[in-house]
Amino acid sequence: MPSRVFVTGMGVVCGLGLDWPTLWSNLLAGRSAIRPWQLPGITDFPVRYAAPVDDHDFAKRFGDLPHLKQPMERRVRFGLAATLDALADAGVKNVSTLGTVGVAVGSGVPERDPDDFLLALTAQGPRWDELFRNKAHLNPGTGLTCGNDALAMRIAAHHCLKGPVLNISTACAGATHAIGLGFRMIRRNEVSAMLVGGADSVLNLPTMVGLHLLGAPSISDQFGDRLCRPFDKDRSGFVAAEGAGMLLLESEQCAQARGVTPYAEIVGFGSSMDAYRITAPHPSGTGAALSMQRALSDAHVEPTAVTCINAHGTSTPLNDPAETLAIKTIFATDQHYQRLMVTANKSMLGHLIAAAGAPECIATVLSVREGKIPPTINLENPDPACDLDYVPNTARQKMVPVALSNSFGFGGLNATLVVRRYEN
Amino acid sequence: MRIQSSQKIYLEYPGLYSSVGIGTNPLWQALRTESIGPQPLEGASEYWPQQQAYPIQNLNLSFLGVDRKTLRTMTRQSHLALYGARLSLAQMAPSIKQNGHTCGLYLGLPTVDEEIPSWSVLERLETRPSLEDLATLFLRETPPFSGLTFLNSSACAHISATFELTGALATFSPFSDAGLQALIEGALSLVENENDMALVGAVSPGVTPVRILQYDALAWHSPQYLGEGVASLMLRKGDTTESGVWIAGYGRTFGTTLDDRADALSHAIAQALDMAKVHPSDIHWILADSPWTEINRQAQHHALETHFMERRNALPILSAERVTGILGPAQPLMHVLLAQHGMRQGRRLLQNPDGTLQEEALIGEQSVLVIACGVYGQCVAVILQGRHPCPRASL
Repeated sequence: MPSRVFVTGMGVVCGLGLDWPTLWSNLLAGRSAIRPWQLPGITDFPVRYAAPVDDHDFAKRFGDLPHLKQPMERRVRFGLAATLDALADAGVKNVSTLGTVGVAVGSGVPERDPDDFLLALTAQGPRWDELFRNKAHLNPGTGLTCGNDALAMRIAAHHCLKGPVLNISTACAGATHAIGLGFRMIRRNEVSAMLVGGADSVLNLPTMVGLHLLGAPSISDQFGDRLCRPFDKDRSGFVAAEGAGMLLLESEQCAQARGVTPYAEIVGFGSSMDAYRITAPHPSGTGAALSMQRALSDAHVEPTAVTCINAHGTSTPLNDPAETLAIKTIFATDQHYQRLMVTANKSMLGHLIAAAGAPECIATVLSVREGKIPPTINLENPDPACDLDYVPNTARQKMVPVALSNSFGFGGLNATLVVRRYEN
Repeated sequence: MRIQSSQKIYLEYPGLYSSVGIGTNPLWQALRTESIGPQPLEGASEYWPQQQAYPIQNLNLSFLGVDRKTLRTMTRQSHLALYGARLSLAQMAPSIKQNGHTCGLYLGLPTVDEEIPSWSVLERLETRPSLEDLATLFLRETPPFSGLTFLNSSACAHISATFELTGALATFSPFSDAGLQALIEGALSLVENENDMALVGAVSPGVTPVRILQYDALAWHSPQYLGEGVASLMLRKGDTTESGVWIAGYGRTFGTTLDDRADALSHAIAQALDMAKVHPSDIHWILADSPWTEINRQAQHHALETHFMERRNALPILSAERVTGILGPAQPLMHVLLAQHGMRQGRRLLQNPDGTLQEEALIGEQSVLVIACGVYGQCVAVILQGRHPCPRASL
């Protein structure tokens, strides 16, 4: 008998808040985490806006925790903090009391310290010998020496988890994938609970150079901190962000035994591949449509039951019209797409890349719980190719029985979650 | 949850490329004869923990029709993954590809192991540059699509785009457990009707100085050499009465300390046995990890003793990494293919206590255990079963 899967705890670290109540109130108020930004020590990098986590605030909120003081990548630090918050939010002091618990984390590009390879330099140029001779000086807190599953491993080790430990790499769909796979594990009674989500930080030299050369982040200075404009005619690329979101998912039996009231229920997950280009989404949104269709089918939910979609909505020229077409395809019956509310959290959060799906899933959970939909801000001149109700600029209050959360990764790797309002 | 009920998940179209060649048969023969040895690592010196390895030849994938510029910016692991996919998909009849089946993709991938800044950039430097100069150099010298090569999931995107796969997907990384996670999730995607069939692949990291640095930092403690390879296969649903090799059970757990890890691996094996409804005495062959940390070596030893105590002096065990080198995520999938090959032939290769190998018949009901343990304690076990109408008596 498949188990129902409930969201019982949530933790978030991002530019818009270091806990979910702050994140939620900022989203509803239409506040943005995007601000002028520059790569440390570099004055003329073309990307000039980002949504970073405030280091001072983070240290104030989490700085006393000894296991966060060890050398580690920023994303790992954010992920560990979000996990602790999710567990505290769920009222769980000892994870082992939940039964078999696993972890599934979406991770992206390892954070590399260029100084590591500069250790190879000699007066005659770089030599591997020199690097090996200096290996004791490698930065112990970077992705070079930690592996890209460092967060999943640290969560599992810190909380003495006994269940499956998965590190998932599906680019910008990573966190949504992790939540989806964790949901499935509980549903098929493989585990009683899962810590799921993602963490990422691309605001470093190697990764930002790579992203910039792909032409993905906006380099426009036309709109200042209103640069991220999903579905707007003047959108020009995403705005990079960093952070983490973690959720505690529990089986119905586990949640009931603890007597907790879930925030919401995860009822479906779907994924797909575009089979198109490595650098662009399919222009007709076929992969995105397949992902949503599979998620709805997995959830046994009719498209007409859906009232809200938390869109991938990156503010890139290619994603937004393709996602719009995909939504129109899947919700074509009775032109249901005209009644949908489609919101793009990235207009305020920026793009957390591999982690993006996690805070967006948290926002979706809160939408179905509270019947409030955050706005898509900076939507001033709608693109004619983007003609849905994107909840422009002002939050809305409306019952949301069922909502989708979309994440579409580089190279056409797509994932969608179906979230339903909790009913006993 | 059972992985088999009214239907079974069958393994088909094996694709394998390692230092011993293409296909499972060359691997089998190399194990029998142990004729393949490691090659000297170019540029190795006294500072390197190892001076030999099992690399494979560079691949020319232009025949796949991939854009030239895209090929140039793909990492070695993406090349390998694409080639592995090709090895499996090329065996499929066009009718299977064309009849609208949804094919999913499940990959086990390593951490990206590029040097950053790239060696070509470093070669322009004689002294440590300022951060500003380094950034300028980065911007000028980094190839346009390198952002994609930093993402190991790009391997998945390349395969999807090249072979027009639109099914559900997942990619796992970075250690040996990732190969079996890909197999399990691929199988579950069929059980849960997400895909009609699934391509499963796993790739080793490249044999590069960076990988040696990475493993060294992770308490590398192994006499085994590093290797390169890719393993792939297709999963399909079939009737329970069909002959072939199928996935009968799996288990996955985690253990941090030595004691935890031995228990975790033991528990993963117990889960797999329970799901497959197989008693340990009915396991005819164990394809095990070649652990490269001391803690994993001991954990595997203890876990196997727990389940196979009565046979502890004559465990039917093998690791093929003795002739391929350490393959990371590709290792357990290579073992799955080796198990499939052995079951089809009615043969198995066993490691004697003195380290030599012997080949003997694999008879009766065939159940094979494949295990993997990631460096941090991610434990996975899979049980394969096979039924063949007439296994060959000898090779």
